[in-house]
Amino acid sequence: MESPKLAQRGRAAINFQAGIGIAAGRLMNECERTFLASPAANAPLPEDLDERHEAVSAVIGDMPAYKLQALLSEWRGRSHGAVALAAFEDVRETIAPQLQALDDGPSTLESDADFTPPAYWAETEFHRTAGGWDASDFNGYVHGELLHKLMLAKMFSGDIFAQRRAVAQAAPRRDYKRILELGASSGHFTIALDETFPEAEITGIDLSPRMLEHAKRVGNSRGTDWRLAVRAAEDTGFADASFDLVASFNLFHELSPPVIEAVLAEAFRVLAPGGDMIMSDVPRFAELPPLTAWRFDQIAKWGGEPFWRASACMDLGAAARAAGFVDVTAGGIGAAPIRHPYVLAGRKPG
Amino acid sequence: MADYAQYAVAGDSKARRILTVDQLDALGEAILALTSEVWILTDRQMVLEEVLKSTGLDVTAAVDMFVPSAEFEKRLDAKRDKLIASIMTALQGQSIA
Repeated sequence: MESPKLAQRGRAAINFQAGIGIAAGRLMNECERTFLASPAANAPLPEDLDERHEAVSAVIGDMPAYKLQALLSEWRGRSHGAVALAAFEDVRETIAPQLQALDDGPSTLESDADFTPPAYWAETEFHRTAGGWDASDFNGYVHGELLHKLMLAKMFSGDIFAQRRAVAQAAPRRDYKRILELGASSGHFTIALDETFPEAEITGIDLSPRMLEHAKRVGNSRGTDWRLAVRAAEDTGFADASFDLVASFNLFHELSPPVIEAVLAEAFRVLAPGGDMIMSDVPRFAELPPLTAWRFDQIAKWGGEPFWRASACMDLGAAARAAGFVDVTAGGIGAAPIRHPYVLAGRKPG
Repeated sequence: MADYAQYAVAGDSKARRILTVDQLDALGEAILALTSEVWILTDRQMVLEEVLKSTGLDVTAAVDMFVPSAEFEKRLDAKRDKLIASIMTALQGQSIA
């Protein structure tokens, strides 16, 4: 899909938000350097993350830089969704017809008026998205295009779209015929799967109708026939053994451990014998430098990521084996020391 | 005491503190909202200068000496009210756009 074209005000406002995010990151780096230069850095940090936070804050909590980064992040967290939505509203008359023109095409979206999303999703404002993922009629565009491409891509280190391609390419085969993507959202990872496996039939599910509406438009803009449906990853409703590859990108940290276990069990069920599972997510806290894990935990705590901590503390390899997968591998494939994205892979015997 | 002093009611403005500690975060966010507006306008000004420059127009002196018409003054008022409202919203600790 063509890069978003905003009016001057919206473009500048989103750029400012990205600049604030980058500035907050630099301030946090300064704080971490101060901590590492302190005598406290000579002792191991507590395993318990709340105790770790107390230990770190005892050293840097009163630094002006620490307080300012918290203020910057809080302001950005509170306002970024509204800023992006306002930027869209400024150009709605131009962009909405262009998007609606992509409603018809080879990609389809199954709608089910009786579908009831699970409470953990319906009652959580992930990423501090005011009103949730479906708060406005073009929220898929607002989040998938404006926020991801114009704000997050500038703030996060590395190419967030290349990361998706790297995960897709980490799958062990190239001859999959039927791929199921869990948590397809607005279609960024779907594109990577489509590029990597152009011959495969791709099915994508998500809990957000607005995100999938945009994914359908993305699919149609590419002329691809994605099958999209509003369904839960832990209860897909698809027949046993109906896919050759089940994949996800950055889904698990939005889920609690019991739901992750249910998702892995569901992936195992819908995979054909010999099929592969590849799920990518944030790094495991235990495999990060302790101070980095603390930083990620704080970002999650204040960034509308309520399940990140519990999820990042899970042993995903053990969970995959418990679900029945064999040849399980788990580890980061990105640059050290963070090595994001973390990739869990396994095969259904047969 | 001077004769008039018994009739005077005047606050001690030097000792007066209006904002309380629990409003400091909102104040900080209001400054950020204001800075965002400053940036948006700076961006626009730079874009405008580039656009005019590309058409061969040097308007710097004309801008300096510009006297708004009544109609344009109304538009300025409306824009200013919107800016002030956004800061007031942030000062109250509410989301801003």
